[in-house]
Amino acid sequence: MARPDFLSPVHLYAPVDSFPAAGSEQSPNPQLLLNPNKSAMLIDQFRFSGQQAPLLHTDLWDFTYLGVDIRLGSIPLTNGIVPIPAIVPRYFGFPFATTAFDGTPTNDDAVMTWHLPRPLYVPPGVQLYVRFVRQDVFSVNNRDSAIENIGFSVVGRSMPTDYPIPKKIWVPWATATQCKQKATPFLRFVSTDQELANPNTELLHVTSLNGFNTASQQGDQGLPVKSPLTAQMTLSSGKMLMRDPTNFFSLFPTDRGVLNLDAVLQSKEFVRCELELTQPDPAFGNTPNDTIEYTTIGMIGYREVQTPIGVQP
Amino acid sequence: MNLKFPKMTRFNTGLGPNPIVGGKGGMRGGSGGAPIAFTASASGLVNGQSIMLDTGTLQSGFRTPYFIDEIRIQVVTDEFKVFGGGFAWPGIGGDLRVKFQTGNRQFSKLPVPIGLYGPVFSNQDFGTVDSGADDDGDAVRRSYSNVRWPLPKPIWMAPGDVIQAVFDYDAVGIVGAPKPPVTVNVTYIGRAIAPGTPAPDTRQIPWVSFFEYETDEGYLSTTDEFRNPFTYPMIVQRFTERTFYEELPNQNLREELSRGQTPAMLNTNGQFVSMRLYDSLGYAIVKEFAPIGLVMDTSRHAWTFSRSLGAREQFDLTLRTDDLAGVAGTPVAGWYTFTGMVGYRDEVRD
Repeated sequence: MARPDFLSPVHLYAPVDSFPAAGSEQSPNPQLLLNPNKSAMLIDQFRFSGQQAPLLHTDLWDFTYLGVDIRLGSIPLTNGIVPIPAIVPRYFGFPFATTAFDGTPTNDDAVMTWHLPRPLYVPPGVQLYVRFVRQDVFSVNNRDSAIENIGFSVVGRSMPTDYPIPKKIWVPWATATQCKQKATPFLRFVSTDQELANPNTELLHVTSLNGFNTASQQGDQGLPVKSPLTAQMTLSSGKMLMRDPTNFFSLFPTDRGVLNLDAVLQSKEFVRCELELTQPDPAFGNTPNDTIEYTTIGMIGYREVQTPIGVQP
Repeated sequence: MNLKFPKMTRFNTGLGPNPIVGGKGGMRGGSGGAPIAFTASASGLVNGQSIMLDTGTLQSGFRTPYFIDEIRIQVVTDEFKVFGGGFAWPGIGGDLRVKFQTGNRQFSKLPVPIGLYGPVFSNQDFGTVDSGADDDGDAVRRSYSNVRWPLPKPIWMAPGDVIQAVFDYDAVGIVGAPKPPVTVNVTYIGRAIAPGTPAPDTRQIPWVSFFEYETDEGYLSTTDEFRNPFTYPMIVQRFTERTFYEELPNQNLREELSRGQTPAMLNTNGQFVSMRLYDSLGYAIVKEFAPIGLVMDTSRHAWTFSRSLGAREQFDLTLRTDDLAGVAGTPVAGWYTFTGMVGYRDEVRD
């Protein structure tokens, strides 16, 4: 029977082993991420699920320290290892899915979806390589714990086998910067030239900036906090995205943490982000020295690249 | 970096030359027309009862054609029990079902659990709670459960046409009585369009079907639940999913927005549900068993796409209860997974 001329949905699932130690990394089997229908496919979303164990509320449950590195063949989709909160928006103020009808988060469980800014065309036979890394950069008093039961899936559409291969494809790009700071002394953080950058040779169409801030305090659940944190961003060319330091949560509202943009970043251009706490943070409470704030900013966009050559079915 | 700002678009108020029926009102939906909404309610719906809402209030008050864009359902109950910190959700857990039809164009073959019509828009979808105490000091609470179904395509309605809503409140196939009485409110959201607007040749009528699975069934496949029953193609817009839990035998099922759906979110039995999906043409849609919470995305409880399903073609869904090792675990009763298929087909106008 001739294959009908339509795009059929496809979902590919690749589980990942646990992360027993900080700094360890795991990769799902790339064979599981090939289109089983042997044709090209369009990828619309990447989904991640994970669990932090043991089930202690003192853990940071925002997956700040879980990073991911994705490539399509030899084409990078991420600027090295990018923390997942920098990629995905939040839902209603909580980082990820919640379980209870009253909005109470499950604290330790998460399903996270990255809606790609443009569909990613995957030629037949070209593999996706995904690497998860448990970063220990943000380990706080050993209160982070093993990340278990990572699930990774690809949501897309199978294309007809006779669909012509495009000369160029849209490739998503994700890059991020992260910092942590204590209440005292207040730190001023400046991102590096390589973090919120377009190191590629093509133009980068920036679609959003994702901002996420959370605090860790002994006995605290690490809930997203609203602190007197300000951000100021400038381009490497000297242009300012904002004239004055601006409240972080004005830029990244806590319900989703997304600042939508429609902008173009030239090749080798980058955004410099300066973060500063201007006054004591109420979130630090009575034990300010034990509390650390984590700030993650991600930049999401896409670029046009030459279609990688795949294996015809 | 060149910053580009989105174009300013004129907000279409629908208040065109004629303040009542202004706007363009395109044949296949469009955005024109004067906004309208109409509501019907039924209270005291008890277990085992079916009721059709008052059709007189479920149609446009204007003698003009109109579109219906969205159906909203709210379920209210004053009475439910609290067990071990968990809440029972009367009328939600697959027990309260509704069937819509306009004329002889049915939206489903059977009454469909109300939560399967649309995706989750908010983790508050399934309720807010008022609490207080009765004379005995026991908890008395009122729950409001909201379901919002944006129709796959706006439905063109002739003056006087109505979408009938028949609710069926029954514990079919599910242990768990008694069920407290509920009140249902249904609201249709639409647009009145100009009188004399020519009627379209066809209308896009939704089609919804569902599949019910309990984890003690272990491994279960659909038969013809997700078949296109028509002699012409239909467009499948999304799959939906809801998971419910019956904590005690006499408890109503309660909504579990994330548990039991991924290896990271096990149910109280330490299990999760996996799914595999093919179509009757042989397309592997979910080739290997995958956690249903990843396929359906627990933040929305839906997988939205657009896929043509030919006449009498079907999707074949298999559900399985897994433990953490990824193999079938010991099935335990009490957890239910409902999967829905939502789409539409072109119907010649009556």
